[in-house]
Formats: sequence, C-alpha cells, structure tokens
Amino acid sequence: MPSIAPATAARPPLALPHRQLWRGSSMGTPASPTLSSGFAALDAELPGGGWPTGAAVELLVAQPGVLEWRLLAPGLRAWWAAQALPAPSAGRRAAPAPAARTLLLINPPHTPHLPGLQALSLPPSAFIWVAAQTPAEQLWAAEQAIKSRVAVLAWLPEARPEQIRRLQVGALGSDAPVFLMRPERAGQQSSAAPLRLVAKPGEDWTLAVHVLKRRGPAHEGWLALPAVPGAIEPLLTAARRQRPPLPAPAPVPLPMPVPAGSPTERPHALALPVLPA
Amino acid sequence: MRWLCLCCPPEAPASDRDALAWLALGFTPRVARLEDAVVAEVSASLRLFGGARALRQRLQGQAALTGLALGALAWAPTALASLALARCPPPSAQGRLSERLDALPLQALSAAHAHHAMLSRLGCQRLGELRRLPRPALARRFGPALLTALDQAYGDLPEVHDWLTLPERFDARLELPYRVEHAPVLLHFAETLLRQLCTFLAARHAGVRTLRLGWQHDAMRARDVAGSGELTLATADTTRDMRRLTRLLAEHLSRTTLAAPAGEISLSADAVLPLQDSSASLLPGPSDPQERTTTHALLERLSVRLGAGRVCEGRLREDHRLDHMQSWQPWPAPPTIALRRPCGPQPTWLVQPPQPLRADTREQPTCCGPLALVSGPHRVEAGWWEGPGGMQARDYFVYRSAARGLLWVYHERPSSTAPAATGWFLHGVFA
Repeated sequence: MPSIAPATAARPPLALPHRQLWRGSSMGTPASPTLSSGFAALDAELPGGGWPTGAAVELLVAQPGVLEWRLLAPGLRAWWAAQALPAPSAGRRAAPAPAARTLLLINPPHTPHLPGLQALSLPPSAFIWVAAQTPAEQLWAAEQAIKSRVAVLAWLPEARPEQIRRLQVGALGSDAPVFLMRPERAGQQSSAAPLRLVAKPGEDWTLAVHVLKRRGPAHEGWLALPAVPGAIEPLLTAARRQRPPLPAPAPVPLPMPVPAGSPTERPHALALPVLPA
Repeated sequence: MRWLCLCCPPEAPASDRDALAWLALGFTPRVARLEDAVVAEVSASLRLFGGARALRQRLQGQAALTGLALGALAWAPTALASLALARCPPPSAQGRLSERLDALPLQALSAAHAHHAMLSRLGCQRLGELRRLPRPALARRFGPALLTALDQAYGDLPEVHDWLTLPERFDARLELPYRVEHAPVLLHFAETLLRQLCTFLAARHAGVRTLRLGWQHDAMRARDVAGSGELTLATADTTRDMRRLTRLLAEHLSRTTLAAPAGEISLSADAVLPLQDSSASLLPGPSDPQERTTTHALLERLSVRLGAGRVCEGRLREDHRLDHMQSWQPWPAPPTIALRRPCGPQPTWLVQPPQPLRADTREQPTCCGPLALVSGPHRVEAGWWEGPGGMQARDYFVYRSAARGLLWVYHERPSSTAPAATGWFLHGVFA
C-alpha cells in the first residue's frame, strides 16, 4: 500500500528563487542595488541595507525643512561618490571632473543654501531648484524627472495615494534615488511606496526615525540616529554635545503662530486650554 | 562598384527626393541625383553596415521611421544600369549585367526612350536589340548621346556624377492641407519637417541648438494681424534627437495661440553645429553618455511648462553676506568661479526674506516656543562698497528650537551708515 510520507519525501524541496519568496519575519531583498544611508543603525533596519534605488522612498515629517539634509546627506554623498568613481579611467590627461548627476529639488520649503550644502560635501552644481507651485505642477515635474532617471527630492504636501502610486511605478525604471517628503498625517493613508519612514528631531542631537513600512517585519520603536549638523559640530563643546540645553517647556505658551493641526502640540493643548487673558 | 538606386513613388512631392538623398548620405558620401531618382555608390560602406542586404534593410527601416515613402530599389555595378533595373525590374535578378540589361524594354533607359517611336518602327523593342545595331549608323541617326548612355549603362564608358553636397543651413517649408487654427495641431505637420531636419543633420554629422518654426497666416486673417508668426526653440546642448525636439516643440506649441489660421509652416536651422557621436559602451555604467542629454531634455521641458524663472540653477559667489553667497538663476546659468568658501557655519536652508521673530521679556528671540542658544555671536559686517543699502552689520546666532530644529538667527547691529531694523530675524535653518 503506498503511503503518503515516502511520496512527499521523494519530491524535491520547493525550489523558488529566493527573491520571489521570503518569510514575513525576515527582511526582503530588493532587486535593485541599495545605497548606504550612512547610519549603521538605519542600514540594519532597511531591506537590502540602505536606501533603495528604483523605488520611491516616503519620508513623513511633521514640519518640512527641519531635518531633511541631516538624514539624507550621507546617502546622497555616497551616491555621488559612486557615480564619479569609475570615470577617471582615461587618466593620461587631467580631464575635468565629470559633472555630477543632477538632483532636482521640487517645491522645497525654503531656498536651498548652496554654501551649506557644499559644506556637507554635496556638489553645489548638481542642484536644480524647481519651484512648482500648484500640486499638479509638482506631481508633473516629479513624474517627468523620475521617468528621465534623475534623482528627485520632492516635497509633496498634498499628494494623494493614487498619485504616489504613479510616481512609484515610474521609479521602478529609475536608477537614481527618489525621496518624497510628505506631512506626518499621510502616515494614516496607505501608500504604494515600498519604504516609508517617519522622522522627527530626537533627544541629544539625534534624529528619531521609525520605519512605517518596509519589505520585512514591522518595525518596533524608534531609532535614534546620531546626526549633528555638520556646520554645528565644530562649535559644540563636549558638555553641550552630551546634554544639549533644550529649553524647558514654557508653563503657559505664548500666543504665537503655531501651525494649525500640528500633532506634537495636541496633548499639551488638551491638558492646558489656552485662555485669552 | 555597387550602385544602389532609390526611387520615390511617382506621386511623391519633390521635397521627398531631397529627404531621400539626405537619407542616403547617411550611408555613403557618394550620392548623386540621376533623373528622377537618387543613386548612391555604397561599395566602401558595405562592410561597415554588414553587407548589401543589411544596408538595404537598414535604409528601409530608417525611411519608414522618418515617414518617407520608398519606391523601387535596385542594385547594379553602374548607376544608369541600377536606374534601368529599378524602373523595369527584370524577370530574373540572376546572371551577368549585360544579360539582364539586354532583356529590358527601351523605356528603362531615358536616352533610348526619347527615340522610342522610331526604334520600335525599326523593330527594336529591347536594349539588347538596340545594342546589336551597327554603332556608326546609330550615332549618325540618333546622335552620340544614345550610344554614350548605352555604353555607360553597360559599363563600357565611365560615368561622371555631380556628388550631392548638403546646404549650409536647413530651411524647409510645408503647405498645410487645411487651415490650422490651433497651435498644437501644427505639431503633427511640424513633425514631418523635423524628420527632414534630423535626416539632414545625421548626414552632416551635426546637431542644432536653435530652431525656428514659422507659420504664415492665410489671406483671410483680420486686418490687424501680422502675416506670419514664429517660435524659437533652444536646447541646452547640441542635439539631433527627433524625440527630444518633438517633445520640446509640443511644449512650446501648447503655450502658443495663433493670431489667425495658418496655411503654411516652415522650419529653419541657421546654425548647424558639429556633433560628436558618442561611441557605444560595452558595459553600461554610471558614466552613461545619454544621461546628460536626457537630463537636459527634462530641464528644457520643465522650463517651458513651468516658466523659465521657476527652474533655477544655483551659482556660488564669494561674499560674506548670507543672501549674496549664492544666486539662483534660470537654468541654464553661466558658470561662475567661486574658489574661496565662506567661513563660519552655513545653514542648509535659507529663509528668504528673513522672518522677523518675537522677543520675549529677556530680549531673547522665540520661534514656536522658547529657543536655546547653541553658539554665537558670529559677526558679519560687509557690503559697505555697495552703499548704505548693501551694508550689513549683523550678529548671527545658532538657536535650537524643539519644533523647528536648529535656526540661524540674526540681530541687526546699529551701524553708523544705515538706520538698522531692530529685532531678531530668522535667516536660515540647519536642516
């Protein structure tokens, strides 16, 4: 009588390419090469050990223009260095350095300050500032840039999930990093971007980063990435570096222009309702 | 000698013959017009293109790509013979040239066709029969031209050709089949001209940076409308990429309104610049030569759609004042030389114009909550050479805010030359 056990034992084990099948508990391996983010703790939490290329990365920040360069500059610096590396092969004559690949800044919150970016070892000639005003223009510019395989940093405060999906589909064919900066409340919506991070300034000159979505197990807790702004580092004394003098929260908040709907302020506002004197 | 004869279809316009000649010039420099056809001597190019069949297929493919209708096509060792074979295809393509030519009717050779009536009355229907007639009598009766043409076709006499050369500038016009009222519709017709331009440029191994598309309004226009209009396209680098030019033209046309219906368009390129073709690389690498041009094409489209002032390129300048260290100019910006870096800490974002901050009771600035001093003052005092308006005397501080990060805040110092605005200003963010 044939039994079932020998038959299953004789069958070869399920042979699937490891990229098509991965356990939910282990990290996925992206198809395209990744880019080291410059933070070892963050690299360990990202699938493939770094920022993906050929995919859109969503960065959710409570307020734009606070921590972008601190988080992204090490990775971008490595990207530019990797682009320039194979070029000096014909080295008989001192050829001029090849122009760095362009990085498009779409709808940045402030004017980019090139001397500061140059101090972070980013090539100042590579930045193109696209001041698109309407959301449609921002999305159009971002999509065109992604399709042309140009690196993109786009601030999209009003993008909808289906629009992000469109950008992500375009990014599949790109070999340049694509970062989309979105407000923190977008974390409640679903998104097609395979990697989503929430970032905020943390304690002790760190950045607090939480991986909201990745190809791998859910990320618990917050990462504390040591990130002192490059320009400030020489100014800090050892004592200040350890324990930064963060101001104590004022007992009664002054009537100042607080951005409406800022989620960080909510519990405080509930506890102490501001009464006009 | 391998001659390739290219014929246009009989109903094709005359400009197609030019385009066909330019197309052939992309394969060999020896191209000539022969009667109503184009002949090209390709023996020197056969090896490069991988044989006669591959060359023919490639040529047909390019013609199809540029939308050019291609008529009959024939190969022969002499130009006249190739023309004769293209006009009257023989039953068999095999055999020696003289045998194949002998079987052709008299219409194949124009010189013989002129005397067709007389020759047919003599009982002469084919080239072979004509050739067997006594030569001195033939020369006396029909003139020497017939014998010369016959000998040249059979390869007994050398042929002389005026090799075709390309004009220095490109100028083509196209009459529209109907009156066009909307500028984007012009794109469809302009594509035909662009195709001709790209063929022309490929034959000259050149590219363009500036193009002019003009249109003529028809006679039914209003009285106050000028007779013509035009549009100038500029690219950042020399190119002859059909797709890129088409997309750029489409962006321009979508922003154009015609003052009156147009009846004719013209495309001209005044400056034809040499373009070095990049050799293909075996290994795809980061130093992709295409990458630069696709980026330029992208930025051109962005600047046309969003407006030139919205796509900016930054240039560093040597100055100590924060708002004079860089200038954002519409792309493409002329290069500048700034060797010395500014000293002191530099923020990564510039708040422009500087945002006034409130001061608290201790005369300290506040911004979304109290601020903690990290470093400062960093004194900047420069710009006296620009008069009182350009003079800046400021003390910069690095402040830390819980919500806004690290801020670059300044306090105007009272200077003797200008009455300074008092108070605190946010001028940058160390993001």
